[in-house]
Amino acid sequence: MTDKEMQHLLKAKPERGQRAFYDKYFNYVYTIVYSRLKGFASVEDIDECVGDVFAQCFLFFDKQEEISGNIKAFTASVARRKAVDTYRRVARHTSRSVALEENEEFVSDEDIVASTEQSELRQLLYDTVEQLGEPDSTIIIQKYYYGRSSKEIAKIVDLSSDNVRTRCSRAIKRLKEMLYEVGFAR
Amino acid sequence: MRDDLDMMFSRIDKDIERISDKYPAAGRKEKERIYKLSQQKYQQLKAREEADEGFTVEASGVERYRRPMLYRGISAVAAALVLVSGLAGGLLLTKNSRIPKVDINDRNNTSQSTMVNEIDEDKMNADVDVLADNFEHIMRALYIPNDVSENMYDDLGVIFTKNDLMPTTGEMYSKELIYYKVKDEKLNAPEKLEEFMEASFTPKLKAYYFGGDLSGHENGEDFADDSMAARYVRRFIIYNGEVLADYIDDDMYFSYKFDEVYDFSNYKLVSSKFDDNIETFEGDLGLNDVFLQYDESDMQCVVCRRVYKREDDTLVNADFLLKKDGDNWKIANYSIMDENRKKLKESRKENEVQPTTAYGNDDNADFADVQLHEENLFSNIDEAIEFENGIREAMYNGEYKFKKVDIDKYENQIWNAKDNNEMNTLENKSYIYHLLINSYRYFDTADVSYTKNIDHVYGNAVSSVRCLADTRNRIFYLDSDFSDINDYPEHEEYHDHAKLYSYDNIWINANEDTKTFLQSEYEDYDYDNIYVPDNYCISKYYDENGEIIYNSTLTNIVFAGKCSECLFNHNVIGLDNFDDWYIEDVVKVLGRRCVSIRLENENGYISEIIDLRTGIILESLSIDENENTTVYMKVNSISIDTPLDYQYFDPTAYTDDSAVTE
Repeated sequence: MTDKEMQHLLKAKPERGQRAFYDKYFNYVYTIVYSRLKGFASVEDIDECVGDVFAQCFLFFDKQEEISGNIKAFTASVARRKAVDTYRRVARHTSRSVALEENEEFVSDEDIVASTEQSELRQLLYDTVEQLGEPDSTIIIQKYYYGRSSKEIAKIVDLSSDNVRTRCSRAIKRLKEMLYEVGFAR
Repeated sequence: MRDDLDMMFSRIDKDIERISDKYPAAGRKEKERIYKLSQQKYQQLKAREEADEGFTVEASGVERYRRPMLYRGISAVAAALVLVSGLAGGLLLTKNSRIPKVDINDRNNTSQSTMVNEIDEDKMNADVDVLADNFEHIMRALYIPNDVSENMYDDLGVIFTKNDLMPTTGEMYSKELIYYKVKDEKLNAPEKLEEFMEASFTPKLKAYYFGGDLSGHENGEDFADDSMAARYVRRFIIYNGEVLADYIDDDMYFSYKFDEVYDFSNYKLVSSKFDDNIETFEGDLGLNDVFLQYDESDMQCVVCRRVYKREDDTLVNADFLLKKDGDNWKIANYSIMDENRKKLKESRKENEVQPTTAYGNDDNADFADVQLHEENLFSNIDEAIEFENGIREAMYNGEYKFKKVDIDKYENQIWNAKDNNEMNTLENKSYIYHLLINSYRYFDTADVSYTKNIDHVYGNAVSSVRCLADTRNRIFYLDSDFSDINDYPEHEEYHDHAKLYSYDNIWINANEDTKTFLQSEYEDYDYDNIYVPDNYCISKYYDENGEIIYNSTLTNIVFAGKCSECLFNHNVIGLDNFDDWYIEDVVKVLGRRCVSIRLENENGYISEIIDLRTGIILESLSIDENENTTVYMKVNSISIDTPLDYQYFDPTAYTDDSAVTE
């Protein structure tokens, strides 16, 4: 479904439109929120935050007579703002200072100074992970990007957790060999 | 290699796009769960927006205010807290509300006042005009934090937490104090606030409202263990050179808004009288009444009783306790009431709620009939809140009296039911519902041991509990041994062995692993005379899609929340909808006649085995949508109404770790 079709559906049949919007942007929103809150907020906080993002978007769509513009950019903006809100809420409970402004990114020093070389290496890494094929590439991404346990990954790829552990260790071994072959090094 | 793979994580936009395009961010079930969550939040946002339409207050014709969304969220949370704590706070407030009627029959005389010894009436009235205006400014800053803001955090100053006692249970809970920047130009700088407070309030009342400079404390700081700081955490504080206020959190709890209570400048003054009999004055500041009324006793006192008329011609009684501090009169306490001299914060606008069943408190009288169950469904949030406030008020005033129903009759009726239909009559189900809500009223002592297994996403937890409870003499003991075994990388195995004691109006929570204890006092309640009829316990509002928007419970249960799986269950929200549960069968457990009930919910179902004479839960089972058991509680031994082997705490070898609070 294109954004234009979805924009129409959101006004013509809001419930179906909302579901379509959710299905299309769930991964994107979740990943934005997760990337902002990783290591800081709990899984429950992240889920709540993702829920907040979609609720806010649904409400926004309700209020518009006509939905236009770049939905993806709008959604990303709401996701980033809500992640900031969640960060602040969590910070309140962990006595951490809340000094970030709404548009301020949670960018670590490491990200700020990320060199082109690092970026290229990361693309190479992603390419190689993709070459592993499914479900191994998903297992690796879930483990190393989203930090999930074998039990959690098992639910995503419909395998037992033992199976996930076995596949994961084999995939890492294969990945290592493949990366070695393409000269991946840091 | 591991380090190389860790490089996979990135916050760069193009990496996020790539990952989210190619891979699922969560499993199907998690995705569906979050979708439901999104829909719930969306419906709540919509309902709040609709409920708040028109909630705007013109402030002296200059500023326009709107409550930020956060306020509403917090109000909802506060409403949940009211489940138990509301009883306590409300009781404390109402305990002193026996106010003698005062004649206000001179409503049409706008300037009449009564002379009190040696008081210059005209000058006093002029002084009170200024004081009332100042008071209005101060209260406005507390009620309405800021002007319209798209981002609710724009004017957020600082958030502290501190522990507060939940008097009905003795539990300490963490109370969040959210301070917003004060915008009122008369109050928005530290020196202005200091001066304003000084001119308006006696030193005691000023100290009650104004805490001082808390800049040295970090955002989010928990004052639970900092007795010095806790003394200064007040309604107004200075923080990093700014004046901040935490606002009154009564949007859901009380019926009246600022413009109905303190908006004097928009009311017409009807009369103003002075009298020096402070014995009849009862202030609005709850526990601090006595403190504020009689302290500073060397100061000359007078009560100014004013009657104001709102735009809609209704009246507001504003009594100010004034004390002479040096050459100036200042407010020492106040009481704001409606035209019948009922305190506004405890009132609701219409009291149309009357009990449908007579309840007597006489042990020699006949049994009460079971109140046949009816759901309290409302068409909007306001009605639900109004209803609940009316019930609360009636409850505090002792209008409902508890009387036992005939348990022999119902036990036999259910036990001997011929079939499932006969078992599941409205009367029988209402009896089970009644027993569950009022369980503790049907036994004097209990000695139970039970185990509880919880299968959670990362492993499982097991607890073994023994509980002794004397509901009449308020003596309680609980020994709980809890272990959590899990495989989640960030969670270590957890073990906790704790003992909880209560007697002589104290709670003692002893940690057997660290050999520390926390002790707190609580005020006991007249549970016999503060009672909610079964059908008034829960008020709900569903939106047009059938989603619950407001769901509030009002109960009054001794030891609420303690040993709640078994003895003092106070959560009957799921059972309120009789379509969602039914009596499965009758069964004997540990020699006692019980019913087995099954409650369906969206995640599976819950099955409970309930003692037919006491409402004590002897077994409970939670089954998820995949038919897996997630929680299983089973009572292994039980002894009811037999002499108890009372347990008292011996502090030898323990360290007192009690939180110091106000």
